[in-house]
Amino acid sequence: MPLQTILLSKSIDGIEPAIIGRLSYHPQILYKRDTTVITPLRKLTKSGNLYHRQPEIEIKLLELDSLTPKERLAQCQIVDHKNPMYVPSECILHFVRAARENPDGTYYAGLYKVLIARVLKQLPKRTNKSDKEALSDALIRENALGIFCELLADDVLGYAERLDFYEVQFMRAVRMLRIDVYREVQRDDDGKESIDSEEENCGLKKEVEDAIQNYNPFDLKIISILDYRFELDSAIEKLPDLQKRILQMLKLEMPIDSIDPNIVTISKTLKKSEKTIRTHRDKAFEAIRRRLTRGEY
Amino acid sequence: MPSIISPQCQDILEAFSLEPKIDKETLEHYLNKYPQFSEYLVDLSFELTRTTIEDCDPLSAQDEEDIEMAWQRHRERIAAKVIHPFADLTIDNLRQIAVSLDVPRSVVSAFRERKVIVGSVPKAFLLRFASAVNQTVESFMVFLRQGSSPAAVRSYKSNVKPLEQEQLTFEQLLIQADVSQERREKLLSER
Repeated sequence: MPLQTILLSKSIDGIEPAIIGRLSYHPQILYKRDTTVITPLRKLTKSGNLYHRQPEIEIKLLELDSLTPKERLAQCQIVDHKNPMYVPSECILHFVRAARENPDGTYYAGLYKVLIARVLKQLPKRTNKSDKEALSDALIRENALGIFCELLADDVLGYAERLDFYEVQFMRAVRMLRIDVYREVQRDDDGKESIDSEEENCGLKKEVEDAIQNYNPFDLKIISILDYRFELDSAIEKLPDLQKRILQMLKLEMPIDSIDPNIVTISKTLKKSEKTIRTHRDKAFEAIRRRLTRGEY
Repeated sequence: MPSIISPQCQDILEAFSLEPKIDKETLEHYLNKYPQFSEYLVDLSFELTRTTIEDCDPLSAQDEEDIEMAWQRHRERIAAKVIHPFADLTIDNLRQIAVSLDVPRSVVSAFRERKVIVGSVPKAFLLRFASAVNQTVESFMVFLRQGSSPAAVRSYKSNVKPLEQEQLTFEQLLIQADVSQERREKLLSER
């Protein structure tokens, strides 16, 4: 599909644009002085509506559009999130795509590198370790980055609609990519020890049962602490899939079981008996407790 | 690497990701509606709701290395994907293209030899030209720009011999091809 610049006069589909300061604003198309400066996204939702950027992103795009390429690139290179000039990744991606007609230019190269740095921040870090976990992280990083770069290359030569999702919700899109790749890496990892392959109802040792009897990682007293939540989620991530899913649903306060067939339960969702769910919940609690307390309890 | 989940599932997960709030109610709604994707939805809900701490650390040397490598691969990927739009065209095809664009054959030849400064060509003309050679305008522009940068041409490992030649604006090209002033003005005013 050819690149189109849409000239806009008044309204679209009967929707009148709002006026923000001296700029006219429309949910899907931004323009000033009757000329579009930001092209709309092209991907359609399942219900047939066009994807559209967050309003605050569109306003930021207009602001950045008034800068020279050199000024814009310099602003995109700011890494401190607290700096009021910090540019959201959605905007950087937009300007990378807008500059794709000249992918040999230094401006394009500069923006491209800033964007890749933003993606890398969302992926597992490279380490010098060589254990299984580090190798899996390295594969996730490499493969996720590869897929994202492939999309950018496709976008230079055509229009990669999948990137529209990244322009709407960059961090969520990268996280979805990350989990997609994680699944692939996990599938390829034949030697992975999974709790699913163990005897499902194998119980816990008595002393472990005692230790976790009153343990609740989602205790309201501590769950409000940011650092704790971060450590807790990192610990949950390392659990086998079944346990990870159980804990995620518990975190969202979903019941393990219910006599009401209309209630979404963990047992029904994961197609496991209530007893199996409870056993694996306890195993997960124990693993988390060990991880968070470095084995001391 | 292809995704191992179906396109339908991918669509549902993307729609879930775009929900304003990722919470219990949203997950319940999707689990009720798409029970066949329940595990994917729970996994994604974890990923989307996990706590992160803003990473303001400067890039490590390894990060810099990865970024540089990604950039080099990006250039190689583009080079590998660019198709020479004129490679399989016969003389007759070129003649037809000239007729359809209403320009002399020499103008079409100049584009084939990448003699034109891409930025000087009106977008509408580029769109029509790209369509005439069955290319996306983006791909066509990348091909044309390969002639404007000798360094780029070398790095793109094209099958076509690199060209180092004087480039002309679209207007100069039209003048050289004896296009009438009236037609020139019309072509140049296209947006």
